[in-house]
Amino acid sequence: MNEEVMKARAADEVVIKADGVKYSYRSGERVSRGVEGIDLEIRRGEFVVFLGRNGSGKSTLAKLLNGFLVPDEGIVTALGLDTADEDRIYDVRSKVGMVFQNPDNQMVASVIESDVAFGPENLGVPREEIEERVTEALETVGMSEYRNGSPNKLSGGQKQRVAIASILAMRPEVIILDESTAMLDPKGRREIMETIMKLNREKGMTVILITHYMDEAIEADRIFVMDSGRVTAFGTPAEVFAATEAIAAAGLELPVAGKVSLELKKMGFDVPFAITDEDLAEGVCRS
Amino acid sequence: MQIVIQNLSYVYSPKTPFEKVALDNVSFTVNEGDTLGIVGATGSGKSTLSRHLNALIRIQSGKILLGDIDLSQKKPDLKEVRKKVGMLFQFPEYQLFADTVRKDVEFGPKNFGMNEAEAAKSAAEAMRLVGLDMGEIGEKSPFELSGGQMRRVAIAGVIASRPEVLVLDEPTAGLDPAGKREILELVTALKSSFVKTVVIISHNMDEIAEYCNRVVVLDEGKLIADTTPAILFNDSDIIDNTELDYPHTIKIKRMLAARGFVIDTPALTVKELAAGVARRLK
Amino acid sequence: MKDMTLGQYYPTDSFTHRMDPRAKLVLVIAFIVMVFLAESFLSYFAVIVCVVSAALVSRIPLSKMLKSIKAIIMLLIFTGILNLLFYNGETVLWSWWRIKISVEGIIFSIKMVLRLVLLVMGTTLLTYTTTPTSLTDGMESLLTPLKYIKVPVHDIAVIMSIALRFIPILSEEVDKIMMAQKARGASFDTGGLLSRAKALLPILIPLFVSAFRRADELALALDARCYNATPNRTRYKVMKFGLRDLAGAIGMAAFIVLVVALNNNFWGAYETVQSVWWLF
Repeated sequence: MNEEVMKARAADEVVIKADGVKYSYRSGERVSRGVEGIDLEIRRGEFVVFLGRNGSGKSTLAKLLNGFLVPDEGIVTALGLDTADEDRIYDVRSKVGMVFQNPDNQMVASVIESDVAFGPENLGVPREEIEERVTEALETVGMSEYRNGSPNKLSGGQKQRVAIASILAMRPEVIILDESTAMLDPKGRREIMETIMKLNREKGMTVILITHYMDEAIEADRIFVMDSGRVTAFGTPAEVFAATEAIAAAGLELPVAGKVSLELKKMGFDVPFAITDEDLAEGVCRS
Repeated sequence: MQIVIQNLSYVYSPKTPFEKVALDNVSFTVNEGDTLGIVGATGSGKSTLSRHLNALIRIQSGKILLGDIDLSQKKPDLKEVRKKVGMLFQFPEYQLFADTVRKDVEFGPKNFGMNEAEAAKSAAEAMRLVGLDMGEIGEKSPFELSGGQMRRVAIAGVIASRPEVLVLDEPTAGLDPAGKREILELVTALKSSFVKTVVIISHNMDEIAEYCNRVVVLDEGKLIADTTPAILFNDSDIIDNTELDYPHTIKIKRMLAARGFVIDTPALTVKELAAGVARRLK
Repeated sequence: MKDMTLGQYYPTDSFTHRMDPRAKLVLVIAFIVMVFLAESFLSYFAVIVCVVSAALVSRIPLSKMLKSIKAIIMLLIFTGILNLLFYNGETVLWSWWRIKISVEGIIFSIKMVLRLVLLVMGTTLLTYTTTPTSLTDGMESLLTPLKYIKVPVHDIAVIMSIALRFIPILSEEVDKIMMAQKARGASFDTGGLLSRAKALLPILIPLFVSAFRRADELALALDARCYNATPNRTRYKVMKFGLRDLAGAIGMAAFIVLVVALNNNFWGAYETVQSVWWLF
């Protein structure tokens, strides 16, 4: 981790804060629950995962954090800006970037570099600087060689990396990935996880990942478990998965290592609870 | 019904600059009663292979025998073939179209020549098999349902034609853990119905290890393994030479072995792995 | 499947391929004007020379050029025959009922067919040498003045660009949906017109549902990229007129002058050429 990152973390600066946030979807007479009673703080440089089953409110929460949705009650502050302040909404969105689920649905241009340039163009960034940003963003996600190519020929993982580059080109401080790994094959998912880890660990970017893959969640600094529109558990991965009942109640599963250690415990063996494959192997060998 | 695939090859856009070999001399047999996994990286030819199984792709070279139907003959009876081999595409809920669940599920059976009463009966049974009730949601629009329900309706729509073989392309893609579990349990349960044989295309090795009795591996259009999950993941280096992953349980077993803790189990499921570890710890 | 974002684009590197798309658009418009200006056979000959030399400069094989004509062959035959039979000429060679074949008719229909052929060849040269993406960029740039009369030029360009981007995606989707419904026993090529139209519903409805779902996500994605954040939007790709474009424009101007000159009458033109010749 470089010095800058260390400094940022040490400052413990809160970049996103939700305070008593409530939101419901309304279509005509029908009102359906989004989220209620959300209080959370995310600090600069953190890698946070929102975990929950389909319909748990995790995507709603994500959309509240960059002002796509404005809370019915409560306040969301992103980088010191109230997301309900319509005059500053583009400041929020450019600083809190969001990548979506289907990589095909977020590219607007048929040439990769034009797609990456789209955000900075919209922000009125001078041309020379756009050039610089495009180069840097594509390099960060390892897609420089495809710069002049068409997105149609890329794999899912590659497309999603371009989508991340397109957000990076706006120079955000926080990046939210809303189930951005859900439609990818294992190789694509690995590529995205590697990209996320690089952004977070090397560049000190604050990352919020919404997912229902347990093996992605165990990489996080903190996990928020969502169920029925509320945060039902939060903490480090070790803490969260140790709360096995809360995990089950939220319709989630433990990582395989966790399941195995639980099974062993049931059989009466004194093996420490582990969530990563390595920790389990270590634990078994030591007991 | 047995499916015999012999020397199957397929090339997209032959004799153009866009030419791409999708299948290269693939031969294997699917036996009645198998739950066969087809695995391989994206672009390895899995989808092309599976689409051959119910004649959605015309054979270019090689042979496929579905029981006594020869798919390589000039004009195979497509309806007969597609009735026998049901095919569930990836994200099947995106193929729902009718204004009610009932009409959607009855679409297949009617196409295959069942009359109103037969189709209704068959559709209701299919709904029951996927854990839904036609009486309860039959008149609803399929687009009002939850994601998991939509997928089950889509499965019902395929099995309502009472296929003997069911081909599933990434049946759990995009679902949350509980949804994945539900679908896999459902597929297992289906095998005690008229569906005798299941072919699952999946990227998820944990699922293949746990649910399949046989597995074939495709790599750049070539069949590089035709074996059981136990052998593939424990006694071969085939996976190492592809972009594929090992199941988590196998990864743990290997990590244990690297630390000198060798266990005598194929470790295909969490239970097996835990039991293996327990035997060694005692 | 062929990559439709490339449309008819013929990927090679040539003088024309490297020209500014705006210059090409303007030249094509000039070319169309030129075709309509041509009256005499000699003028037509000049236009043909113009197209052929343009094709040579663009390194588009002749077979490719002819292929574009094949697409309109029915239209050509139809136009040719109609004009041939119904042109009201004076030097009648043969007539029956309202049908009248005259020398003027023959000449006129040959010219009409030539005109169509030339129009198609000229415009396909544009699409052969320019990707749809840069065509869109070029059009947006050319239409920029319309901004001042409140035409949302940029929005139109973004919509076109998105349409180009989604054509291959949706056509793949159609393939997939068709296969899925075929697997459920649907058939799309039997029965009468009505039942065939009805058989399309299981494809169309999922396609529209999917298109709307995609549109929803796309709208969010546009917002996430701060679309419309500022009226002072900048452009990453700047198009620059170069020497090449100037050369193209001069060449085209020369041909137009030639066509007009050759229109008047052959001898007049001949005299002009001769007098120019004597100057040297």
